[in-house]
Amino acid sequence: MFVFKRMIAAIPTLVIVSLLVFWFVDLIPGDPARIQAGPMATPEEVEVIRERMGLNLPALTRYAHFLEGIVNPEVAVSLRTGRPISIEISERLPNTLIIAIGGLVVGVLLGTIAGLASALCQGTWTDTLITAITLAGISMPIYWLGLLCIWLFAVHLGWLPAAGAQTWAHFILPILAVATRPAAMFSRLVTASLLEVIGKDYLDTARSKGLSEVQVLLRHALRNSLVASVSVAGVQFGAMLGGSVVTETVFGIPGVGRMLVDAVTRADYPVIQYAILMFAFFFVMINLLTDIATQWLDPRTRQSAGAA
Amino acid sequence: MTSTAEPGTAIMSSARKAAGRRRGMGLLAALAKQPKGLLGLTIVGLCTVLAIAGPWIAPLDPYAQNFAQTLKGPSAAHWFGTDQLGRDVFSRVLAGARTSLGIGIGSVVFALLIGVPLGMLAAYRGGRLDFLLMRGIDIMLSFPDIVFALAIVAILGANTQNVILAVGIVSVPVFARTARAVTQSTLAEPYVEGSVSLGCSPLRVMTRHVLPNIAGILLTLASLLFATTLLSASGLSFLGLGTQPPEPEWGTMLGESRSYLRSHPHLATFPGLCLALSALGFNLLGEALRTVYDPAAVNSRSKFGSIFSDLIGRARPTHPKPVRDRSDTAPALKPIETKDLRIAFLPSTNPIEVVRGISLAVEKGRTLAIVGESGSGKSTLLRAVATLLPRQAGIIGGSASISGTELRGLSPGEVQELRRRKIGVVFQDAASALNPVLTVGQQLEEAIRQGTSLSSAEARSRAIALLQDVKIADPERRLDMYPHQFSGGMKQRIVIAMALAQGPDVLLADEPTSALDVTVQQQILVLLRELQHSRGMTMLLVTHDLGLVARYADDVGVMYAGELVEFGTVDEVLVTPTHPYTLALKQSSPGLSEHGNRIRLQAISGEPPFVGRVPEGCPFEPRCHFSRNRGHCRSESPKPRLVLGRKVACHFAEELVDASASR
Amino acid sequence: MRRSILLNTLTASLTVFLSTTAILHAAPSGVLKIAVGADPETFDPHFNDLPTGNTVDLHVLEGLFRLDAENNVIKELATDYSYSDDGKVFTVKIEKGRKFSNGDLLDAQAVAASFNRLLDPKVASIYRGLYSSIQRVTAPDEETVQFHTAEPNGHILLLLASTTATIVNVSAIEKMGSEYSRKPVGSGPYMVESFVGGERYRLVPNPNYQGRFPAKLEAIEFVVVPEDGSRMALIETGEVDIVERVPPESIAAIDALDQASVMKPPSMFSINMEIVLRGAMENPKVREALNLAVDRKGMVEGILGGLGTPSVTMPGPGTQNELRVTFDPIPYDPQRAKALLKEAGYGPGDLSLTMVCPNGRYIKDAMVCQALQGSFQAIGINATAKVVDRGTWSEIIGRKPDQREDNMGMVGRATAGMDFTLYRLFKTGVGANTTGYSSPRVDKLLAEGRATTDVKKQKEIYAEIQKQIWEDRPFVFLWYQTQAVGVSDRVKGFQVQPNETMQFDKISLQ
Repeated sequence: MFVFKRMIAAIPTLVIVSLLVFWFVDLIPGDPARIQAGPMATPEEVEVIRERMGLNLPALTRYAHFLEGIVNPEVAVSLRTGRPISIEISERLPNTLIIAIGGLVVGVLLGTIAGLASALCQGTWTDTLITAITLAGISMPIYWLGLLCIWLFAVHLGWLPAAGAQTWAHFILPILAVATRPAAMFSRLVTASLLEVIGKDYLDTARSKGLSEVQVLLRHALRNSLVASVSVAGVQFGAMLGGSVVTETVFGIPGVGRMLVDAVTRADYPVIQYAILMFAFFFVMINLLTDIATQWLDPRTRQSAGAA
Repeated sequence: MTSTAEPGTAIMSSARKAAGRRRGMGLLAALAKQPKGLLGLTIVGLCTVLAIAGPWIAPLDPYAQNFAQTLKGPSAAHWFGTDQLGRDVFSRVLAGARTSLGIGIGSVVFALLIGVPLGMLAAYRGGRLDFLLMRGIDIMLSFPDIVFALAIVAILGANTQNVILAVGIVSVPVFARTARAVTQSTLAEPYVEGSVSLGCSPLRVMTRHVLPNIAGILLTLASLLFATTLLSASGLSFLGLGTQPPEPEWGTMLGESRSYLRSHPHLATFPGLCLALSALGFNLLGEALRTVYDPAAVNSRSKFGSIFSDLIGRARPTHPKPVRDRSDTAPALKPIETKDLRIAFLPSTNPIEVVRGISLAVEKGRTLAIVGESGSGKSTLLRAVATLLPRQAGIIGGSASISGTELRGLSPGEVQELRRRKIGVVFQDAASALNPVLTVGQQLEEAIRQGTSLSSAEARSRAIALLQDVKIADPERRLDMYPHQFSGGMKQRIVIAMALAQGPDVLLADEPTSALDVTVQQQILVLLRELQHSRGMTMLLVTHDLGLVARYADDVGVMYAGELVEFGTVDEVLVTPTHPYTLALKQSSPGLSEHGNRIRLQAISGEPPFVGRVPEGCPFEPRCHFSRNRGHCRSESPKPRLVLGRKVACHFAEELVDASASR
Repeated sequence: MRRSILLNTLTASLTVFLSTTAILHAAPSGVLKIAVGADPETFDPHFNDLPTGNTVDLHVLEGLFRLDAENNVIKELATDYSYSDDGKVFTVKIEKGRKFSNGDLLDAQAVAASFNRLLDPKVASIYRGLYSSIQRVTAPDEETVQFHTAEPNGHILLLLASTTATIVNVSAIEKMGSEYSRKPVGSGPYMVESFVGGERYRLVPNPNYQGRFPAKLEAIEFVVVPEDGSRMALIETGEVDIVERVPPESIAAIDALDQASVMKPPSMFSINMEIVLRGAMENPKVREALNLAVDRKGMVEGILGGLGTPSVTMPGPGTQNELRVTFDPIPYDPQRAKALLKEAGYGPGDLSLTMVCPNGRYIKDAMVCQALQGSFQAIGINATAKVVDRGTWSEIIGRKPDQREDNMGMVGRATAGMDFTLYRLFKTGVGANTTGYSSPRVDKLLAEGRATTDVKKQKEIYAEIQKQIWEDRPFVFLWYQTQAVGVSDRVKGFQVQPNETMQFDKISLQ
């Protein structure tokens, strides 16, 4: 019931998001056709482009076209390539997703391990070191880190390819680079939630049942950070999708993020619109799934949601 | 927006209480007390100085070019070297502080000024406005922040103001959501509800009640957001969509020099370091602020070192096995027995002895109650017997055994086996003894199946039987419920059921009813006693309530300052105490001296000695009415001896016997 | 019917077999890997505007004519050409029996269809304006193509030698739709085997190729890496053989490598600050002062890392060398510049100007802009450098002169053909003339130059025009960019045209 309600609630959000994204082109000061045509174009050439962009049509018709473009690939084409944007996006989306999902998985793993270590060794140098690294991890611009990684692992050590997306090895560096932030977040989350349950009697209860310490840790202590973990994972996944605009530029990965940046610098408005729409769609879905998952995982809210 | 979405909600609830208290210098002091806070404050302070004075203290003109001096490394003349146009990087870094930090401050202030009133308005007005505003916020959150900022910059063009605007807009939802949540909960407080119903103007309510409560959280959020903002803005700069040259700005400088990363590393290093350092500073400060405004965090952090002591601590037998005296163990395997048991906190570094040589034994099927004031060491004693000592506590002497199994020096596996089959523990607070995120059935079945090869169906039927044993009706349905769906008494019954899961020999109950109200207390104790009898268990009951002892225990041990001062059967000890402390306890206990008259009679004057600072001689001497400054008490600690069939540790036990006899 | 198809296929494959055996003596070998900085997005020559796309078009498609590495026009499909007596019809004879890579016939009809697509307003090619002097293209027989122009046009040869004028297979476009922009069907020595948007594309030899520039390589693999540092890392790690657009600061690092070095072919790109001729900027003395204030040599060395040559005329080298004349370099003389400003009535601080530069469009553009600001400030002008993102830059630079709020903008021009380059920029009132330059003399000369087909006369006319412009100084002339391409030592015979198009005619791998 809750899931259903939540999904229904996402629909108006998506509609308004699509309106906003559509409206975006009208907000651009100056003449989009002029910008698109480039400095060399003559006024006649600009007119042709204006027509191709459909800018001379009434707003409602254009919105209808815009929506149609979501389902009908032939309607929404890149101004630059003339190819259907949906195809362009679908070609690049896997790269973006591989890095985001890979980054999340690696980040969660590393973060959990670091967080455990930090919690287990509270007050020791291990803890201090991990805290320092995680703080540095969230304080460092990702592109700087990425470039340093390329320099160290690709150029200096020669272990990994520097840029591109031809083989799986090409994805290691970008995934590691994007994983730093979720790793840092998770490390802190795990540490904090472990420290929070430290004094909780139910851990002693679990021990008194004869559970081993590892079982206590996994079944009882970490379990309680699951709800928070899911929402952090959702937020981080979204952030990595968004961050793809930077990481894909650094690592030369042909993904949707770089496509968007290129489209911005080349004023390819339909591509900007649909790329942003796609990001927004993913974001809404992630938020939705996160909400549903947290509701479901936390019995207290699950019950009240069921009752409501 | 990404990293800071969580703290807001996490710290909200508890922060309100603390918020009002910490202001001004108090706050600074509280921050400076934490290493993180001190470091954060220092860096943020430095940043502020740089942002204000940076452009003035720059030794050279940050815009002055010199083609003869391009791309020079750091030198005495140019501390950070020169850039592609021969400009002094040090001066540019200094001059750039204002823009760089200005972007952060500008966007955070922008987001704060827009987001907080929106959130407060939504919370105050509620209803449709609230719905619409929150929908709007949802929609803003439907865009990844940097993509949203990118779109804004794409529309408005790339320059410093637009970057501030873009990054600021992106942060509005965070503030709005937090402000709304805190306002809502503040408005629900009775005193605020009162002033609202008295007709206080909304503005007054907001400024008087809501703002003070919200300030700390907002400060924390702002600090953390500041760091994110700096990094987002520098990401835009990297994409060529941030502050545009020649204006010195760290992100742009870093972006501009990125292709020089290898040939001229100094170019990227200094602005990059400044950026990372200030982000770090604000992150640290934010964390420290969170600690200040979230007392929950303080407690949990300063509490014990680690929970998972066995993983690193308990698993190792840190103390040598005591030499076992064969003759001791041979004759009667007492279900619970301790011999001169000594327990200290921080045994290796700074030992604080809390249990100072306790010898006791409980016969099979009997109930021993340990009574004493808080801090007497009775709970520690119980935990030692339960093999659940906190990590930083350790047995430093003597021995403790369960059914003849010496507890010291057991391997982790042996400890687990013992816990499963021999020991059942009932904790004081059933609410916290149950894991809130697992169903009762899961927790119960976990206890049943540990170390067995039972199928889940078998475990379930046994769980049902156990719930029936503890008199919970409709057990099948109840198994699938979560702890929060049960009342306090029911929870305690479940805890008891879990303790009984594998038919233990020994039931250890640590103040099992003190969190319950009186009628429920009775039921639980009756249940415990019934179960004990029917299963032939031996019980160790820790309590401070002599009333309970009188009604439910067979034997009683009175603890004071880590020592057992009197030990005997309930009938003997409670009727005719032979230790002044027992007597004092008895007199201070309601409902024991006179039937039905549950008023506090006589508090024990004075305070128990500080743990670890027990005076020489008899520890009770300073509070003792019988000692009357007799030097003997001060110089010599009384040894337990047999008086009237019970053990007592008092030099003048006989005097008390006489006194009570005469009474 | 069925049988005849079978027969056709048989003969076709036989021809293929024969033609492959014919070039067997120089069997293509080796795989060349190239890292490019820009995503070509489209290979459709009517829409591509990037050198990386030109490179593909040059090798995958064939034109009637083409350019060699020095930008000289040479014949490709054409065997002969001639002007009609009135100069309005240009006739080209083409080779017979040529085929597209998909086996379609490439006859005069196909050539005409390709040009008519370029000129079709509905297709909206970005180059329609450039070719608008051609009214229609006809194919009287299968080996003759005729270009009909409204006025006599003496520059058509150069227009036809551009990769924009390469022959596309119109019937294949109809079938393939937008996919054609990724895998164009042409008759060149190579064909596009695969294209992964934004990531990489791969050329392999075209088995149907019959021309004079046969494929030398088994495959050419391109990877797209826009980030300079990452792209440079690729040649250092040996992952690629060639990297384009080496930034100045990486030249030393690449030259220091054992296995690679930087090649610096000249570029047509003429970088200038194009002045909006309004207000104080209408005063020739001010413009002269601005030109004298710039230390071109210092900037080229200090900022561009040597990747440039100070301008000696507006059109860059390779624009059309036989018509290009050069003058003395502009001296760096701030004293004289100050004096000129004074003569013009502007004391120190009296004059303010704003200049707009793109960020990341030309070599070190943003840096140069800042350096120019400093240079102009040094002669007492309150100069403001406005470095903007490329979208904004495009928008500002494209405005009509009376709508410009700035005083000058940095623009690089790299168009082949003297007529095209100068006519477009300096003819009064034409679309791309965004400076508002207007000189009756230049207008007249431009018209004459366009009409004449006599090369000797063209030389005189264009020398005059270039001289006039050089003296009028509607721009702050800066420099011609030099390309920097990192090339592995195992690559031999690699060439780059002045318009940054790579050429693989003579390439071999060791």
